[in-house]
Amino acid sequence: MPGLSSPWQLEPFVVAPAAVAAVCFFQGFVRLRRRGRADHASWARSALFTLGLSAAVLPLVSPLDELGDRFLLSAHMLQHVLIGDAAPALLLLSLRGPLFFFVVPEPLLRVLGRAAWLRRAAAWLVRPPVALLAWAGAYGGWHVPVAYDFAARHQSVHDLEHASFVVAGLLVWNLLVDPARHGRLSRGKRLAIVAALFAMGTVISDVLIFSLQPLYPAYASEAHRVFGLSPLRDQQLAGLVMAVEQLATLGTCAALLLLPELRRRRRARLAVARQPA
Amino acid sequence: MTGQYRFSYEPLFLGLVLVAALLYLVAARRQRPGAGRAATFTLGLLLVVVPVNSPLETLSAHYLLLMHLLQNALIADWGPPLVILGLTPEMRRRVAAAGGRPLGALTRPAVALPLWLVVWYGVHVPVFYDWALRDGWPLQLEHLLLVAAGFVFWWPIFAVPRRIEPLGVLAYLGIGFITTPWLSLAYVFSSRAFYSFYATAPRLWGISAVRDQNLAGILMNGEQTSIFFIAFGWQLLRVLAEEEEEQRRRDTAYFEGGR
Repeated sequence: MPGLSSPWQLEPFVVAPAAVAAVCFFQGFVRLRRRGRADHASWARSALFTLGLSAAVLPLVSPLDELGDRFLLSAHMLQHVLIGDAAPALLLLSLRGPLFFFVVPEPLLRVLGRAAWLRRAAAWLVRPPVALLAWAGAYGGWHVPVAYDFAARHQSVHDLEHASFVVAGLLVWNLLVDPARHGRLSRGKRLAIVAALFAMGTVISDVLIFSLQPLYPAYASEAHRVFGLSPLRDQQLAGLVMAVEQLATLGTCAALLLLPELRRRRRARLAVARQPA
Repeated sequence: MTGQYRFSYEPLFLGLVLVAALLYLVAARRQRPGAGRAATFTLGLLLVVVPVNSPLETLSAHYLLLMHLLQNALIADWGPPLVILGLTPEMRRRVAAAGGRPLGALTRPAVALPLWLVVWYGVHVPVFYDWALRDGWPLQLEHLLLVAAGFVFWWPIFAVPRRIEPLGVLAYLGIGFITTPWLSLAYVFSSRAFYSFYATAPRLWGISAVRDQNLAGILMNGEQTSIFFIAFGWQLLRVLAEEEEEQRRRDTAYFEGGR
């Protein structure tokens, strides 16, 4: 079946950054463990990192890439949410704590530490309104049919599209996961970011699910229908993929933010109730 | 008015709403709700009574699933929270006291949420839905169940004394939001009509039975998404206000301790 039987393509644009990230993680992981802090560099962290890196790389080098590029909008959407949402969330989760600084090689960390302009730029980028706007711009902008079709026709623009999803994902998940443990955002503010992301994502997924006609001419005009999916059904499926993926990632994030605190408060209430009058 | 746009009635709801309005008037003589609260209560009651006593009832009971789901959404999702919000805190306290243990048990979050889901999904099961539409009287039962489930679901959020803290309300609403949209998505993605009653009903406005079902799913999904987002956003503001208050207390304690 065309698309599914496409060969794997080891694109340098994808493989090279992934290899650099893997090397950085490995040296940071080893350095931290050698210092006797295996608690901050557990094997669970390496599993999370591997999972995150796989979520970033596999959708771009596997047959899913061809399937999404040429045949199915739903496959393309799956690719986008994996590289732009699941991968950043998992990668940042794997780095949470001291490991976040150890993965940056020491000489580079020193250079970065001295570059005040870079620190200022980074501080500006990770401000919640900036990160949220970047996310809204990337997802909202690229899913406008004209932009989507233009990107599909031009490989360099397509690469830029994917890169913008990854960057936007890293920016917003940095706020939610707080890998450097700055603790700048309270639980409520992070929940507000979860809600804002979900609301923005819902607008896009609902447009795809509820549209009564195909919105992307490139997919609608494709004669070969993989899995027998009509263009409209494929589009609805794409919206569903986005909605379900967001429910899974943001829902898990909200649960992780809420449940420990609710348990803690419940224990505190019970302790007060047990105290003799 | 004749034909599909004529008025139809469900007297049960006219009676219930009349009783509720009278009780509110009696309570309002002592509690003195503000104009906004009274308007909210009135709007809530209207959203329960008008959809089932108007041409919408005719359209939903004879022609279109789309109209039926609009009706269900209004009476179950919008009416009950507005009615509860229209009660002053003291009124809510009195309702809770009058309801006693049965109301307390029924509106425990761990009971209210599953109960609401069972009713919401249960009444839309084709066997029940078709029976309610064909026999007529069970339609009132369906609507009564939906209104009751709506009150049970929203009560823990607005109850006085408070049943759940704001963070817990967020979790409660989050679970509700995740568990409800699947029915509407089933309507959207369906390519055959689920309800034989509507499949064989006279076609209105040139909408086929399947398209009617798809549109009904879109309406239901949009409506539920909106109400959950509004409620979630409102609670989030309360959480943020509480956090700010907590921080202010900590700052005060820190600076006073340092002196």
